Amino acid sequence: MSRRIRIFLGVVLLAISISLLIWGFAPTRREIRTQPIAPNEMQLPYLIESVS
Amino acid sequence: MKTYGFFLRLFLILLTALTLFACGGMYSAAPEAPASTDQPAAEEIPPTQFVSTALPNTGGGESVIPTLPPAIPERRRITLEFPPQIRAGDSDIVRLTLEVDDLGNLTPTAEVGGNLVTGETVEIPNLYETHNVIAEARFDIAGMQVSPSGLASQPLSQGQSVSFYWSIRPDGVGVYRGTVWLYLRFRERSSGAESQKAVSAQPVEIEAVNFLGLSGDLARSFGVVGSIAGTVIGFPFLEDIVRFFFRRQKRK
Repeated sequence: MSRRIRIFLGVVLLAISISLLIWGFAPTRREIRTQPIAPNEMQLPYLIESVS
Repeated sequence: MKTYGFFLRLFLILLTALTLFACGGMYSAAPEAPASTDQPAAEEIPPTQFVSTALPNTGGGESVIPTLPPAIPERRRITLEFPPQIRAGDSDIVRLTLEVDDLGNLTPTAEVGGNLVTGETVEIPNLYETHNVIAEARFDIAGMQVSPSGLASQPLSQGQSVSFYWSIRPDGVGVYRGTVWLYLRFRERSSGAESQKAVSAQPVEIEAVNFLGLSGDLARSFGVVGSIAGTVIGFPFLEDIVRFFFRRQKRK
């Protein structure tokens, strides 16, 4: 009986620990955003003002 | 006497008609006078707005030479890479790249007198030749450790990409909102005059999470210790193995 309890506790502890390890070492998801920039958005500021 | 009066009235009518005709002709001719010479119109255009370029004559009347301000002669794109979710207590990287867009097709276009002229012959003055271009970036986010915290600068060269990296670490669990700013600073080589332009401001939302109330470091530590303990305690044949080794030592 004590052997069964010991095995049960060991399996539960192992399951929780492996869950913690998986969560702790899992790579984080990364979000990538891409925004195109036209050349006229990189002009000199005073030139843009004078044109408008 | 009647004849004299008739001629006098006729003379006055003709004089009035000629005066009105002359005045009308003078006013109607007034707008045409500047059009005959291009000098006054050219002086009204701001000098910073136009620089001469070599555009072919499209035909029909005088050849008009349009001019364009200096610009960066390449299409670029901003790539922002960040973790939308992060473990509390862990650090991560936010990356911002200003790279040359190879897929973008830059077609110079000029509009002359209502006619649209498109082609490869419009030469936009290269901004890199007249200015030092510096890319500056900043990551503002409240409640999170960000390194470097201030404005980061890198020189921007033609055809080359620049990247900015920030290391972030949330102090606790929660949702953190911030903004990634990108500026371009233009420093004129001849005069040293500087101007700055904000190119992009991207909002960023990062959520810091935990697992069963444990941060990343604690979870990994408990995981390692618990795995060892669970393996030792729950190993089905551990008792048999221990007995086997004890018996073997007793025989020796």
